Amino acid sequence: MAVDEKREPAAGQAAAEPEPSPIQLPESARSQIQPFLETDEEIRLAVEADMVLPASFGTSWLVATQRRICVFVAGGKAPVLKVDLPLSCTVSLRSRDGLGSSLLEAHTLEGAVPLLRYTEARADAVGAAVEHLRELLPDRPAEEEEEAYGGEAAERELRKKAKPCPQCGNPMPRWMSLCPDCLDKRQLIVRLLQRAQRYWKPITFTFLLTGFLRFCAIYPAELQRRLVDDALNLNLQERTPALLDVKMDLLWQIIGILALVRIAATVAGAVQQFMMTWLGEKVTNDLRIDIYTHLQKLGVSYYDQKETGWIMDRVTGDTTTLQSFMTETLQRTVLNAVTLLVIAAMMFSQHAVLAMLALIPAPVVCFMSSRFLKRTHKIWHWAWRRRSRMFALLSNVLPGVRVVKAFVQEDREFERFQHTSQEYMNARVDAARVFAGFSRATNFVMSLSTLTIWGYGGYLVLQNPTGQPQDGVTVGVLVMFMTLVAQFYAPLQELTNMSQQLQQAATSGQRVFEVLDTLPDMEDDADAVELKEIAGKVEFRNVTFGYDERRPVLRNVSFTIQPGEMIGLVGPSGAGKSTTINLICRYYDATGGQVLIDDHDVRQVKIRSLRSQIGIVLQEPFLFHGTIAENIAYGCPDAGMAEILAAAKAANAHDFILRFPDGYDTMVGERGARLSGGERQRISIARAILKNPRILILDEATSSVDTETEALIQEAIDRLVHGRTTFAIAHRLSTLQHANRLLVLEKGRLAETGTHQELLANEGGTYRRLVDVHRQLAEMVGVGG
Amino acid sequence: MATDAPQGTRRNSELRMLDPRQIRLHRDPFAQLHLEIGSEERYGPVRAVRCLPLTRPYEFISLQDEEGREIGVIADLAELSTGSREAVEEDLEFYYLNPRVLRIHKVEAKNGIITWDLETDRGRKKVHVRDRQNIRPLPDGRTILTDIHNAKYEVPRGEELDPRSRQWLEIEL
Repeated sequence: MAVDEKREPAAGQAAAEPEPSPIQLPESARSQIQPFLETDEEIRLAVEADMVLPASFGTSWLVATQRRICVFVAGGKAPVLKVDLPLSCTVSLRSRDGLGSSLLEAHTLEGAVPLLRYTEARADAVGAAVEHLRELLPDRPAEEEEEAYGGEAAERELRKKAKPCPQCGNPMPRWMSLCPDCLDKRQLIVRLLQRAQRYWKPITFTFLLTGFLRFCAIYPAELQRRLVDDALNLNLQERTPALLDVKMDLLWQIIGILALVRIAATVAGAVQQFMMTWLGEKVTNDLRIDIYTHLQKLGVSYYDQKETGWIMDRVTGDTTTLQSFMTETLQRTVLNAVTLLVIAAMMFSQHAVLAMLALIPAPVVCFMSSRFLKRTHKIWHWAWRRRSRMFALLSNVLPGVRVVKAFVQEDREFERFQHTSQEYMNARVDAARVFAGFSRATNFVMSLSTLTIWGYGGYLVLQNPTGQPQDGVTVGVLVMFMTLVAQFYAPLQELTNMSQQLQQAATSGQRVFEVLDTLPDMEDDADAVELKEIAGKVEFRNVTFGYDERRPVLRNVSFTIQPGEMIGLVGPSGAGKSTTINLICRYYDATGGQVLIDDHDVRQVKIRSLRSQIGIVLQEPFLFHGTIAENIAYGCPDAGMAEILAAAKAANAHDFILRFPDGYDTMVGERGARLSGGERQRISIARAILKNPRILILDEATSSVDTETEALIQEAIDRLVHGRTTFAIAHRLSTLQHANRLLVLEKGRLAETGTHQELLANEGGTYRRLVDVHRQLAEMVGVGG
Repeated sequence: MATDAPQGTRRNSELRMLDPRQIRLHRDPFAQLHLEIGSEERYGPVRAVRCLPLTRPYEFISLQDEEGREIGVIADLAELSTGSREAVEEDLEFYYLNPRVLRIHKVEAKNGIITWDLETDRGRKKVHVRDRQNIRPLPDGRTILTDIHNAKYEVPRGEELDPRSRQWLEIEL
């Protein structure tokens, strides 16, 4: 028996079997629940919910045995049994979705028994459990239930698609290939580095250059020591011309080397700076292009889920953060660490005690820096939020200035702005105050180093009997220490700051990879065929579909449209009209059933070959930044100018286009701002005519224009429709008079089909009702006007 | 009444491309353009309108009657007989006053208005342009300035300008 096989938890099999165990119960709860059950009863299924009936948050468990369904609520000491329902009484199960939470009910012959309340977070787990639970139910009246909850089969199918993360078990967003919870920040950095791999040569080169620069900065300290100790150290007694010559030579030699080091540093510095910028731009450019290419591959569903601003920020903002990380932060971290070590080594090799004393303030500075960072981070974040609030206010109010003026609210808007602007200022002043205090304080602590070196170092120099290096500390050593200490603290502070930059880069990296890891949900199957020139037959076979995993928008819809037919899609808002269109274009895939074009399942043909034969005229025609000619030719960039003109002429657009001073060369703004709605509409019709599609989709094409323009557009549409399979969505039923047939959708089901006349004759039909409402509206307008 | 649909006339939905061998154009003493197609059709006065005044000024010329109704489109003026071509070109010259910039003396931006001090083939002129939107580079490298009165000035490609003018232009682009 299938049920029995599934009963076993079989931990060892988990890898082989993708289905999770039906018993999802913590061990502690299990032992506490066991006493409630009879000895021969065994748990077949269990699931945890995050709410307690009737509607509060808490933990409850639904446990099913071979005899009954029990619901326990987690109590103080032991679970409390809330529901005890024999399986034999249970006829069916049903989950009802509310906003943010759902309720699972058992239906008995007497009525519904509420079982479990749960939020979206547990919806998948409970959904899977319900499926198993149904199998436990006795003699399930299959047909009846199918009729009552027709959408549920498809829902279950949808639910399966939300797969859990293999690592943490949490359900992953459907569009991600990696679980966002399990992302390891360190792994992110590694992935980022991998992307820079192809530039490893220039990266190594810049790295070496930077190292050399650091050397150029430190080495003069040693030279200065030699300058003071060897070249300038001359006792009056020893002052012989020969020795003087030797010392002079040494002096010139050291000065010469110093000069050479400076020159080399200048040249290397220039090259390094250029290389860093060059590399940064290269890597960022690659990343930007990768993201953009990937974005183009993603399906419409992705754009339905994400805001444009969110996506744009990833292409521009985050890549820039990553650039500075890859080219600067990374190199500096390593080099700073090396610099610190070298400086410390140089100091200790000269005089360990003095070095120790000189570096005492270092840990203090580190500690202060990290404290300070945390503090300023908060303040800066606060200031940043104030700033974006100020921008939001501006971008909100300025476009609505007409409204502001109409309601005479200028003063209030002024006050609002003054307030946010002041808050922003306060935040920045705060930050400045903290910063000023801190930087002075650290400077003071660091200056203690200098004092220690002068004090203790000076004492040591005076203790040196001969003043020669071999006998103790010399003036030269002191000079060298001063130079080194001055170079020690900058890298130290930078290193302390590094953790923050690392954090930032990791965040940006995560955001960028979130896009790159998104799997295109709509890809050609390996064996997809090229769709040849089609006749235009469209068939839906028991199609079920929902955007949200649990709410089907289309339920079991079937129809067949012959080539060349014009079909009106009618129905109230949300009935599934646009969804039908989305499925024909294959912006989404049906969850159940099939969509066939010329008897080919759309999932088995190449998407490009399908979409190239479909033309769309949208309610809000989208025109790209470019000339009118370019916009008409958008679908066919190779079209000749004569064809473009002909298409425009057929779309009743030619005449108005020629009235623009620039004719077809007229630039259209980002959203076609300089054209009226009717004009844009006709350009988009011309675009569709030029594309010459076999299947045409008109989505409320005339709804945004006045009646007169509508006539012009209608005429253009009539020409366009001729000889093509057409789907037209319109709220104005009058525009569908030319349709061969109307498909009336209601609540995701196909309610009626037929011609305008036939449907009108059906008293009590959906279409008749819609028409009546329209008539009443028209009468009201007539009376009112 | 929509101007697209003059009373009593059916709107023509098909583009009529005029056969260059069939048409003759001439200007009458009043500088009005007249069109003959074959031996039957005569129109006049007609007006020549450029479909693509910026990118293809001598191709795709729409000929319209006084009401603005299109009679037909000439694909390429070069295919016409010399007399006809000159007649159309004269008509176009009159309608599209597109001064060509020879030198840029100075460009100043002030209060959102960019003032170009230009030497054109029609004389020196100070041209006021609002916003950068009205400075439009064409794909072939030319630049079109549209001034606050909607007049258009054609700036040739940078290479064709003297170095000083080119500098001014590059700053503004």
